[in-house]
Amino acid sequence: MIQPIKASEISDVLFNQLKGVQTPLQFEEIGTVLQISDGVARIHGLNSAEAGELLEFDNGIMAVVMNLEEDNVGAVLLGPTDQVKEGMTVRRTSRIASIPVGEGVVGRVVDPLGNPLDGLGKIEGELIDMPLERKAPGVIFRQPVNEPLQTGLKAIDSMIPIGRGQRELIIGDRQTGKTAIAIDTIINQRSEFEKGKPVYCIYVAVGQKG
Amino acid sequence: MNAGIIASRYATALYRYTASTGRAAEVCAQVERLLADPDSLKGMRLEPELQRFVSLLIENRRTDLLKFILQDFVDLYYRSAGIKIARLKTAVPVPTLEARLADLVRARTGCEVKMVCEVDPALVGGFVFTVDDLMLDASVARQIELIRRQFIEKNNRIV
Repeated sequence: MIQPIKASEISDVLFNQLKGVQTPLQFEEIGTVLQISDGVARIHGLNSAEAGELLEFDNGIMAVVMNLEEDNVGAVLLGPTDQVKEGMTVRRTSRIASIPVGEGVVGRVVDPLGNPLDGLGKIEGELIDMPLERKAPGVIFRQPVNEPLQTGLKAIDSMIPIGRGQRELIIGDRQTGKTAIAIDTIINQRSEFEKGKPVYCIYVAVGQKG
Repeated sequence: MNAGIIASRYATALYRYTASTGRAAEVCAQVERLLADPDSLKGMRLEPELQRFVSLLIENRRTDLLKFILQDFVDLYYRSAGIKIARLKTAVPVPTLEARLADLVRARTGCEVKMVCEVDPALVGGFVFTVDDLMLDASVARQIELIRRQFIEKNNRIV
């Protein structure tokens, strides 16, 4: 279905965009995919790849370098694995895998590289690039936990004290409602938001293999 | 995790063996054909050095690393022989460009150059030149793709 016309799609505006398009020509470092399995690509070449660097395939799918071996590089794919085949070319992007963060990210849905997925346009405001792989702050640098966090579930709130910023494990068999408890806790923070003292909740969805 | 170290050790052993029998070039040519298209060698005899090598891999249960080892062997052979492999892909055959680029690589690196040329109309125009791990993509198809991506980013609409 063709989407409705946007105001920015006047010919003049598009013409100016065309004039300002950059198509630089330069030597790029490349590698060839030798093996793909389980979302991990083994790539021959890329002798100067750095750990945690972003790589780009011909069809736009990105990967993160996880393994630097003597003659090959192991990279984790950040996209559909069935679109990447053996023999494809991979380029270095010279960027360490990082995500832009700032006040503008609150209320948005983003993928691991910070690209918005909710169709609400670019993320505005001042953004800082934070690396995806970095050491968590040690216990000395963490604030003490001294405010309670209500889950809204009577059974849990009455028996198990949970604090804001505390790490809590929800363990159980599959399809027993572990994610539902976490989502319910996030939804329950609405009352705090309405009081003017919001609890910032970040939901990180990690899918199952397959 | 140790695939790289293991593969390079086997590749070094294969190279030293073929160098000692003096048939490294023939073995390398057959290995390159094998890597490019395994079916092309159906019904043909493997070089005796390769046959012995495959038996060794089977004995040591390292056949899953065959592809990595053969790739390493080819790299090792060309590095030792002082030859650079340069691949040129153009939309139409351009012999003058091939000669110019070969001379350029020879002048910059001082090594012998083996040009592998391919014609691919999907490039629309321009060329893609690869030497070692570096690639210069001056094809029209790539320029169109870059422009398309910039349009998508600027207009927030898939084009």
